Amino acid sequence: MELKIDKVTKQFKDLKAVKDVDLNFTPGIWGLLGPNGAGKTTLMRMMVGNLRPSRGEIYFDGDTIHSLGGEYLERIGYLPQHFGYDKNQSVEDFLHYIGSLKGIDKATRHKRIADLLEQFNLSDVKSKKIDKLSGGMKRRVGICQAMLNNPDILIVDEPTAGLDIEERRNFRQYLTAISKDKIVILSTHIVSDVEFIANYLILMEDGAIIESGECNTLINSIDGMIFETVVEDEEMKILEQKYCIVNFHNEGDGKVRIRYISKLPLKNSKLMKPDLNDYYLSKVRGAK
Amino acid sequence: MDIFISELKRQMNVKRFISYILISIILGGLWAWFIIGGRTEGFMMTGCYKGLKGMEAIEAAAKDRNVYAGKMTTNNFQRGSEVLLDSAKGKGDESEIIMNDELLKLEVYADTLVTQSFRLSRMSGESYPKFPWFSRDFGSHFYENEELYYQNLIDTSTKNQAEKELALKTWNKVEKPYTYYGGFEVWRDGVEHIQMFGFVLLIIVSFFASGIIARDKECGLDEIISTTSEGRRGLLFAKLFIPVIMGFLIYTAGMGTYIAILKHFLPANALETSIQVCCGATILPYNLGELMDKMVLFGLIGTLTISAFTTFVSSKVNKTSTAMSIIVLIIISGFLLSMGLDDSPILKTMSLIMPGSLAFSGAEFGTVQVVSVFGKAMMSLKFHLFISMLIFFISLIMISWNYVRR
Amino acid sequence: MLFLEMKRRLCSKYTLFSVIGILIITVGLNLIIVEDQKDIAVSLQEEAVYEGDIKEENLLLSLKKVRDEKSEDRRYTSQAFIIGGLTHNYPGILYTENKIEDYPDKYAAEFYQCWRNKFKVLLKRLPTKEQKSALTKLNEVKIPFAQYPGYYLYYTALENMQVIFIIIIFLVTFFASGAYSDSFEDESMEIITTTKAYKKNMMIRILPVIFYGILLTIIAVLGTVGMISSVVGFKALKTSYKMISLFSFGNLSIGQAIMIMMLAEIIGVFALSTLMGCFSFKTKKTTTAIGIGVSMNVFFMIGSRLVPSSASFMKYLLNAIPMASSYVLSSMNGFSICFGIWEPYAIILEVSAVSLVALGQLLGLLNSGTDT
Repeated sequence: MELKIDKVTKQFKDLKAVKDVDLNFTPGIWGLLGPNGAGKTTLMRMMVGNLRPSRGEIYFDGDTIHSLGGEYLERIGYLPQHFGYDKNQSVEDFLHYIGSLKGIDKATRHKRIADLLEQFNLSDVKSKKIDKLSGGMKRRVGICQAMLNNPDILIVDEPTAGLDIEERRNFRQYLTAISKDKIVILSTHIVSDVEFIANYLILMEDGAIIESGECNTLINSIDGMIFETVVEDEEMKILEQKYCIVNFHNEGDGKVRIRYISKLPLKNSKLMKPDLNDYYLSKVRGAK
Repeated sequence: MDIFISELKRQMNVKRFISYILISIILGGLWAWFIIGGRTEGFMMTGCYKGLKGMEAIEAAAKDRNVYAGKMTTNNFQRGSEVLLDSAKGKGDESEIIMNDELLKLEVYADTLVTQSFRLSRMSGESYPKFPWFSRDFGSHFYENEELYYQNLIDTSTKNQAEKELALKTWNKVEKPYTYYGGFEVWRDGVEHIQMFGFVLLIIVSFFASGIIARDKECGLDEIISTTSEGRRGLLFAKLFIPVIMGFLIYTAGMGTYIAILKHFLPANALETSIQVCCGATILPYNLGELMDKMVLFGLIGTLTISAFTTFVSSKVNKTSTAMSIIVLIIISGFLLSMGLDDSPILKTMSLIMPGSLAFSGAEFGTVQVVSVFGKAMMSLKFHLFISMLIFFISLIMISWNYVRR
Repeated sequence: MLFLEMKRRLCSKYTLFSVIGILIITVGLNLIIVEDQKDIAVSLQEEAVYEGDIKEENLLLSLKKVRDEKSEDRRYTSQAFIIGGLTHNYPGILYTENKIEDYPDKYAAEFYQCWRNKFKVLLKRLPTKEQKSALTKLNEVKIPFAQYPGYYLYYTALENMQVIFIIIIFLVTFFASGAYSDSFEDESMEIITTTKAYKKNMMIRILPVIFYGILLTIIAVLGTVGMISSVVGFKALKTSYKMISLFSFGNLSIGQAIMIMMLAEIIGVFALSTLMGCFSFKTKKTTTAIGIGVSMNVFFMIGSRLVPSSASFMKYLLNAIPMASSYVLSSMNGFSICFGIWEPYAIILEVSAVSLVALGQLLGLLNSGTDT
C-alpha cells in the first residue's frame, strides 16, 4: 500500500500554499510537523480530495486519487482541523449518519459503532449531544467517525489542538493502537504529539518539505551537536545570534541555563542526547 | 435510501419537525378563526344583522339569502331590482334603504345589480349612478348587460386578436345563469386570504430550507461529508428533496388546517357560487370551490419552488443567515410586486419570474389576464405556472451541479 | 473605537451589495417613470403658465376651455385634472360625475368649498370619537394649494420610494441581527467581555447598523428626488401634497412630505436597530434573530392589510412596529386619526417611543452582562 504525492503544488491566487511536494507514504505513523501556516492543512486537504492540486498528482497504489474517486474515499478516514458536527445530533446518531455516508450497511455499522464507542470510552455518552461533550471527548468522536470504515489511510489534522496533557496522551495511545498496517498521517505543530508515536517525520515550512525520513534517523543526524551550559544573562543576546538555542532556563543570580545546537560547543558545555524538539528547531530555524 | 433516512432524521429531528408543523397548524387555525370569528354581515349600510358576529352572523345571513339561492335567473334579478327600488325612501343623496324581509332574501341579486350598474357607468364614462341606480326593468337585462360589459372589458384589456380570441373563448365557457349559495361572502374572504397565509408559510419554509446545505459548510461537517465514499453525491437526493418534502408538509399542515376549519364551519354548497358573483370581474369559468382549489394548488407549487430555490441559494452561500436574508428579500419582492406595485410591464415580468411568486398570483384570477408569448396568446396564470415549474427544475439542476461538483 | 467598529461592520460585501442593490432599484424604478415622459419638456412649459397657487378663477377658465371648447392645451387640461380630483378620489361619494363634460362650473369656481364639503362627508366614515379632532385638522388646512409643473411624477415616485423603504427595513433587520450574535457565534465575545472597554464596545455596536440604514435611506431619497428633478426640476417639490392626495390633512409640500417619509424611516431604522440588537444579544444566534425580525415585519405587512383602520387596539399595536415607519406614505394619503393626531405623525411618535424603550432594554441587557 502506497500513497504517493508527486510534485504537488497548490496556488491560491497570489499565495503558493504548497510548493512542489514529493512524498511517498507507506504503512506507519507519519508526523507532519511545521509551524502555523506551513501548508500542512492544505496538503492534507489535497490528500483527502477536498482540494485539487494546481500542479502535480496524488497517487494511491499507482492510480490517481481522482480517478479512483469513491474507491479511494472508501479507504480513507479523515479528521479535519475544525471537526464539524451537527449540534442537534447525539454521538451515536452522528456516527450512524457518517457511517451511512461511508456506505456501511446498517448491521455492520451498529457493531462497528458499538466497538469504537467502547474502544474510545464513549459508550456512556453515546446518547449525549456532541455539543455538550468536553473538547477531548469531541476529538474522540472525531477519530471514531474517521475510523468507522476501518480505513487503510487515516489522516488527522491537528487532532490535539486545545486538549489537556492527559487527553493528548490518551489520543496518542488511541492512534498507536489503531495504526497497525495503516498509513496514519498526523499533522501538528506540537512536537511532543509525534515524538513518541511517529515512525516517520515530515518537516514543512512555507509550503515546502524541509526534511523527511525515519524519525530516529533524522534525530540521530544531529547527534553530538546538542549541548547544555550555564551562561551570564547579558551574554544571551550575542549567543542567540551565534547559536541555535533550543531551550533556556533561568537559574537565578543572573545566570541562564541554555540548550543549544552547535558543532563547536562553548566551554563548560555538556553534550546531551538530541530529541525531536531539538531537531525541529534546528531545521525550522536553519531554513530561515 | 439509508443515507436519505439518515439525513431526514438529522434535518427533521422530532423537536424541529414538530415546531415547524405546529407553528403552521396554529397559524392556520388562527387565520381561520380570524376569517370566521370576526365576520359581520350587512347590506348597503342598512344595519341589518347588526349585533351578530362570527358564525351567528354567517348563518343568519345565509338563511335569508338561501331562499332564492341556486341558479340566478333573470326573473330573480328582475324581482331583485324591483324590491330594491321599492325599499328605498327619500330622494337623491338623502335616500336610504329600508330593509324588509323580501330584500333580505334578494340581497345578492340587488347587490350584483348595483355593482353592474356602477361597472357599466365606468365603462361608458358616464357619471356614477346615484339613487335610483337603475331603471325598474334593469334586472331583466342582467345577462345582456353582463355580455356587454365583458365584451368591452375584453376589447380594452387585450392587445391583439389572438389574446382577444382566447379571452372570448374563456369567457364563453362561463356557465350562465350564474349560481350562488348563502355564505359565499365569507368563503370569498377565506379564499382571498389563501395567498396572504401562503406568504407566511413561504417564509417559514424558507427558514427551514436555508440551512440545508449552508449549515453543513458553516459547522465544518461538509469537510467530513466530502471525504466519505458516498459523500455529497450520495446525499444529493436527500438535500434536493428534504426541503421539498418539508415545504409540502408545512404547506399541507398549515393550509390544510385553515381549509379544513373553513370547510367544517362554512356552508359547503356556497363553494358552488360563480366567481363572477363574488370575486369581481373575471372571465375565468370557475366556481368558488374551483378557485379555492386552484389557489391552494398554486400556493403549493409556489412553496415547492421556493423550497428548491432556497436549497439552491443554500448551496451557493456559506452561511445560513445569508441564505435566509437572500430568500426573504426574494419572497418579499415577489409579494410586493404581485400585490400591485405598478402597471409597468417590466415590473409585471419581474413579478412573474420571482421564485415563489406563483403563491401570490391571486390577482391573475381577476379581470382579463392574457399574455402573448412569442406571438401565442395564453392565460397569464398558465404562463406563471410554467415559469414557476421551470424555476423549480432549474433550481434542482443547479443544486445538483453546485453540490456534487468538487 | 467607533471608527474601527464602523470599519469592521461597514467595510463588507454585504454593505457594498446592499448599497449597490438599493441604488439599482432606485434608479431602475425611477427610470421607468422618467422613460415614459420623453416629450415632457413642452408640457412643462405649458403647465408653468398656471404654476404657483391654484386659483379658482384659473380653474374655471380651464374647465370652460376643456369642457366647452374641447381644448387640449396642457395648460388647461392640467388644471382640469386638478378639478377631476374631486370626483376621482373616493369615487361615488358626493360628486359622482365621471366625465369632464358633466362637471358643473361650481367644481372650479368653488373648488375649495367643494373639496371641504366632500372631505366633511368622508370624515363621517371615521369612528365618532375621532371625528371632532379630524374636523379640527381639516380646519387647519390652509388654502390655496400650490402646484408646479411635473409634480404628478411624484405619484409613482413616492410609491416606489415606499417599496424601497420596506426593502431597506428588511436589509437593516438582517444587518442588525448579527450585531451581537455574530460575536457569540464565533466566540470572540469571550475575549471582548474581558476587555476594559467592553461596555462601550457593546453600546457602539448598534451605531454602524443605524448608519447603514440611514445611508440606504439617503441613497433612496436622493436617488428618487435627483432623478425626478432632472426631468421636472426642483420646483415640483414645492407643490402641495394635496395634489398627490387631495383628501389628506396637513399643509405639507411634496418636498416636506418626502422629508417626513425620510424622518419616519430613519426613526424606524433606529427603533429596528435597537430592537434587533436586543434580539441578537438575547438569542445569541443570528438565524434566530433574523427569524424574529422577519416575523415581526411580516406580521406588520399582513396585519396592516387585514386590520380595518378603525380597529383601535390592533392598529396601535401595528403602528408601534418599526416597519410601520416605512408605510407612512400610505397613512399620509389618508385622514385616519390615532391618539387625536394624524396617523403619520402618530406612527412617528409610536415608533420613537418604541425605539426609546428598546434602547433602554438594550442598555439594560448590556449592563447585566453576558453569560456566554
